[in-house]
Amino acid sequence: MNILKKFVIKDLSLNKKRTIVTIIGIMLSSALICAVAGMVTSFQKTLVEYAKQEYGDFHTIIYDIQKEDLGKIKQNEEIEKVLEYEYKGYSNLEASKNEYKPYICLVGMEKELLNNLKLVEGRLPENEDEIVISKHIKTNGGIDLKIGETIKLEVSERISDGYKLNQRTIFTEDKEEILNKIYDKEYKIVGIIERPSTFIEDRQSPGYTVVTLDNKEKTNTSIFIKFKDSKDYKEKTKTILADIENEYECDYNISLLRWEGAALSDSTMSMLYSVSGVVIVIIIVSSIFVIKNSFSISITEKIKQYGILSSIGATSKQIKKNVLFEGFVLGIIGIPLGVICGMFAVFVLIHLMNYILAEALDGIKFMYSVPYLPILITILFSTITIYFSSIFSARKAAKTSPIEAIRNNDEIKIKSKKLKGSKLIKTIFKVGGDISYKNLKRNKRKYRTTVISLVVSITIFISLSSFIDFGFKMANEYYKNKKFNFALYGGPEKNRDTEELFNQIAKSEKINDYSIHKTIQVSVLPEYLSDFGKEYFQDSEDIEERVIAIGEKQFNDFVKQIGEDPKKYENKGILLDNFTYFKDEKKINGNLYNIENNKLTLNLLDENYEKTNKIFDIQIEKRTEEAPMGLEESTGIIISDKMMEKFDYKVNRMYIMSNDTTGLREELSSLKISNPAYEKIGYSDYEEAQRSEQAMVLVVSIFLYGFIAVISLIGVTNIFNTITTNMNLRQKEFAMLKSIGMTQNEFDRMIRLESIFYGIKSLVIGIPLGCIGSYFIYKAFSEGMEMAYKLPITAIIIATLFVFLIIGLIMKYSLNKINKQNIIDTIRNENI
Amino acid sequence: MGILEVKNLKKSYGKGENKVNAVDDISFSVNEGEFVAIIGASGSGKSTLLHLLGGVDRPTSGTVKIKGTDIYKLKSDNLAIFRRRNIGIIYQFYNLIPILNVEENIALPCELDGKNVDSRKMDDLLQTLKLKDRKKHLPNELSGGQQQRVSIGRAIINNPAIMLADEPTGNLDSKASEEIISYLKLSNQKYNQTVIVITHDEKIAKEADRVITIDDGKIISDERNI
Repeated sequence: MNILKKFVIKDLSLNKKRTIVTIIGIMLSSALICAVAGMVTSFQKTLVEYAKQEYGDFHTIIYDIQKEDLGKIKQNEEIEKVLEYEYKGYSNLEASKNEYKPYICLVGMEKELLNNLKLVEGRLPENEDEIVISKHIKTNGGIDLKIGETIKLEVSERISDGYKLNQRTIFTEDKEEILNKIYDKEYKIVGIIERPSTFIEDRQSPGYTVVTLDNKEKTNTSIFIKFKDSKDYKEKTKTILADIENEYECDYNISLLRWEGAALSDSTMSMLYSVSGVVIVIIIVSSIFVIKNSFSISITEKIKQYGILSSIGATSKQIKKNVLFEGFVLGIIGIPLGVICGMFAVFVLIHLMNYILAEALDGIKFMYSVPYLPILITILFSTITIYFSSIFSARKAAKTSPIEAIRNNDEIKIKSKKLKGSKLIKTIFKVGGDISYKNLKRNKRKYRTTVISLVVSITIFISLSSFIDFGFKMANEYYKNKKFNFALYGGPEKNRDTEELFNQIAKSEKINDYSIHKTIQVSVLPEYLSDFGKEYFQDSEDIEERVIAIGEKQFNDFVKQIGEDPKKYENKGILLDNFTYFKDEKKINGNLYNIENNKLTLNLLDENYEKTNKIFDIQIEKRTEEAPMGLEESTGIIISDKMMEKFDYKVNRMYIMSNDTTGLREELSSLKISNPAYEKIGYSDYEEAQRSEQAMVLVVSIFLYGFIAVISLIGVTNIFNTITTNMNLRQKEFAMLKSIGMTQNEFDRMIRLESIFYGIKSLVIGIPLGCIGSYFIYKAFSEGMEMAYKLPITAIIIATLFVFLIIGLIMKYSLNKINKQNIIDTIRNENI
Repeated sequence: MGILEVKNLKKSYGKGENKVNAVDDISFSVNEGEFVAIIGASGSGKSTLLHLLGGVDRPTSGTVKIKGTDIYKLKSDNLAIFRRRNIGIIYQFYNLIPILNVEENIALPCELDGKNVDSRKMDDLLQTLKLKDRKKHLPNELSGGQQQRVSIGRAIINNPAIMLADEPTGNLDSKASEEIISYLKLSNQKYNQTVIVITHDEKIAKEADRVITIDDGKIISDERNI
């Protein structure tokens, strides 16, 4: 090894701590880049796998190809794999409850395709006499076919106006269709599968798919094509179709193509890429900061040695090479360690996410992909970072003239004008404070690096922790005031039916409490507006309001709750009136209506919210600001069910407090199977929604806190290097101060003050920046809901403590080192 | 023609009223094998002059020719190469690389030049400088005199055209000083080495062939000892 390389190695191993801290800095930033890139590729892989699972592992599908063309297609060199299946024909399914799906459609598939079907029950067909049926024959068509039964299919062609129809042509009652029998055969049902992908059976396809094994040569094949490379899939498909004479229908597996990156116009993927791009840029910038900083420190420390080398004849090229070699050594240790840590972090995160989000994701599993690309990206970016950081310092080292370098006073070139201390500081903190304050000014550049590192960490911490805080609050607040955790929505048409269905459901044991809302829409006459109401509605005549009955028991409870006797209110209404709106960004709250006359005169509205001019009064004696179960509006007229009987009301909501929402969901689905009338009832499970939202926020906070932690750690390595070397460089000065009689206590105090100045300065800048950040985040969140802005006090306190702790610890560390040294040795250890 | 020729050399710091001429229009030449002492009060500009002669600083104007090469016409890299081959510098405070041992420090100029050190020569040098049993020691494990001997070794390992010494005994006691002087003298006589020493030390001045006195950046006397 040549002497200069030996020099670098010796220097690195002698300054073990600085070397280790620098390597940690490099490692952390590589790990962060690797983790971010790794997450992106893992997400992508997950989505690709999901698309393959859901839609199939192919890029293009071509329908109903004739035998002679198939051979030609198979010769295309771009194709990796072709899988064949055949629509054999239709058979009548008279009992089908779905009027648009009156058939069974028999499909023959080769073995490999069969294996891609998602089996719910039973097994796959093993010969040409066995079939599997799709689940939705039962859930959608209402026909209960069991495994083990045999079914006779009259396999026929669908013909209309002399044309043969296929699964892509919708069944309509307007056009007559004839079934032309080809053959009939008995099949044994051996299994039930999930509904096949839309490529085999579209939503509107007229036949329910049943599948049998068919390994024979087919007369009329549809094929799934997988290209070797999905890029330019459209052109490739066009080429294939252009080569054959007949025209065929084709379709693309867009979901898969999108995640594979072949159809990148999609916004989700490009957003994922651009967000991760931004994050990586932030990481790189902060890494360059750290690494450059630690290089320039290492160079400053060694600048004298470089001066000596140069004075005995080392060329600037040799010195540059030397510095770059140092970067190389640090990188070759730091980068691989970082890559390993980053990959491990991704691995842990993916598993954590699968664990936490198991319920919310509904069966999707995140996959861990060994991220070759991220590793390459990391190595590339980290190398670039180190190269630029070191070349910068190398230039500086090579540029300084040897004698200046030997004197090493470049770093402390000062002008007395700039060093005027503050009188205030001198009075408060005495000479020690004055010296430490001046010192910060003298070392402006280094001081700035330290302060900036701290400011970045503080700002990111405060704003991101508000982000998490608001996220959790949103997830909880939204559900907190709800007196229900489940809601049902009915179809709009036949109201009384819906009421009947709701009442049936209400019998479930899983329901503790419920409220069925019956409503009519009305318009309140403008003379009943309060001053507050007039200001809001201005001159509008359309003051729409709802009259709601909430069920007998609920009504009685509600009346009692507001301290009245239910009997009194059988023929009277209660006004819910607590209206809030924003005027010039300010929240204004008040009562909309004036009920001095103890009544409201209303104009009934029809279905289209047009006035019918049926005018009637409702007696109102009580105004409340408390809403009954399920009512989310801030105004409304609540009446008894008895009173509601007079009107042609609507029933479309039922609010439920359930002790087991999951069980209730299951009950609902079995009800739907037994009676299709329930099919039109929709539901929201708020408990589940809240759980998944919380899980989501939890995952996001793990990400964000992880990110904050690593960014802060990078900052800490930066600060550590700056402060310790700064202390080292000033050793002589310290020794001098001691030699002229500064006591140990005074000395310690001086150093402590210096750290306090660092801390204060960075907090003074960082906290307001963090608050601004958190305010912007609040703004973004508050679009969705009303929430007052709260200063992130906790985060500010944590940041403050953390800053002083970190600086204090580092200062203490370097003080210990300094205090161990003998004064005279330190002073004598100087040159020229 | 001398091995070193200095012509109208000037070095000034600051501007306007604050302008200080540390070296003010100095010209002289030194012949091969001469032992020259430069003396002067502190602040007279002698150290600056030596740095200019050694090519480690840059003059405001004027030329320095060593073996006929105008060193400040060289580009900085070429100057560095010229330095390691032709100039040996000894500093008052030794300026050894603290993390390299004695042998490595002495070998530095040679290694920088990409050459292997002739081990016989290294042995001979270590023997002469009485550093044989110290060759694996780091500089901070040596006394001042020993450190200075290492820097003498480093200065002459490449047989430079001239050897410059900046107060080489300034930091040493009288016994160590005598030793250092004897080594300088020895190299001057044994290898016919040209030596230029800046000094306060009367003894060195007396040993020299020639004494140049400097004050205020100017040569005020240039005498030969008889």
